[in-house]
Amino acid sequence: MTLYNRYVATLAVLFTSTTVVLAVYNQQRLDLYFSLYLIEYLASTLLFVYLKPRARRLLNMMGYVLFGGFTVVVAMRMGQILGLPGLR
Amino acid sequence: MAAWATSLGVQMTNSRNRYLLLGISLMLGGALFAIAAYAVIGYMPLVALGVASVILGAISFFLGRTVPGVSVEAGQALFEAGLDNIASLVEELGLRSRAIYLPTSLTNGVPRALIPLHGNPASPTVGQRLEQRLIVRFGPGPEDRGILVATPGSAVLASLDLKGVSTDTDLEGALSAAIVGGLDLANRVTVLGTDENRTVEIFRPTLKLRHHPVYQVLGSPLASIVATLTAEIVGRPVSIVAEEAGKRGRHTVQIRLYDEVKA
Repeated sequence: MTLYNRYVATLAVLFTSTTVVLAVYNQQRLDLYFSLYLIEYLASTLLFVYLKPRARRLLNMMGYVLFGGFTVVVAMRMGQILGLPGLR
Repeated sequence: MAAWATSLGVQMTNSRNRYLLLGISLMLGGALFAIAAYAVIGYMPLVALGVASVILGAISFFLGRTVPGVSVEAGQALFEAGLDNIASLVEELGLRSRAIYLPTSLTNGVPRALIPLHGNPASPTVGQRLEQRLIVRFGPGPEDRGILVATPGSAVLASLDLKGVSTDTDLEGALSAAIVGGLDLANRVTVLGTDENRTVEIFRPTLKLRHHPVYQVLGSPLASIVATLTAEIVGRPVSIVAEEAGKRGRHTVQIRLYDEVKA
């Protein structure tokens, strides 16, 4: 199995396992799923140290985008806690 | 001929397209699935599964953009043709010596292997930068002549960025980055030994080539890559002492580092 295949397969297994486990516990919060996906993505990308530099650059960009999404999720959650209008 | 060229062209783009197609399919399918799951049944775990598919699709798409256009099969075909040419030359000249892989500091910036014409010297003394010629004189003695050839490792070295890798403590990391990351030819690489003799273990190599007569002189392609990179990183001539394809997919290459030489 090539390095890229192992990387994609690892992420696929992690994402699926996370979804199944959280579904078993009947979690309905999308932000929780997204946060765990982001953590798994960052950890896996860090552990696959021998990815090509160009692939790593592109994956880092992807990480920034995902982190941006995570920031939006956190901001919305904070807005809900603070009781801002339109976020309840 | 045209059919062969078309077939080769398809092979060259297949591996790259596989990731790109997978990426686009997962992104589109995942997005539609997530929207449908949210709009129709409103079940968040399925929506999350769709989101996960979109993320995986984007990852696959990005990875597909870094895969070289040449498939392994096409690369092997081109590679074996090159080896046949070197084999013809070696056979015609009756060479039996083991090649000595030289760092680029001794070969005017182009990685090359030196095959001595008259047997392996105990310790080659390359006293000057070798010219870019086929037959070169590498020492003061009348028998210090050899031929300079490009090896599989030469081509690999040109495509790698070894900036910042200068000491032999980085050797294992550099070999891993090249063989596991850059070329995707094995799962793991370890380096044992610290002095003149090193043993490089390559786990689960993916490059399957038929045995070639020129391997007795240059070593196998994997060994050649190891020797070229080692020579460049430690700045010393290197020769392949032995190599063995062991059990459980473990390929062992024993290399010898010659004394440092000043060009």
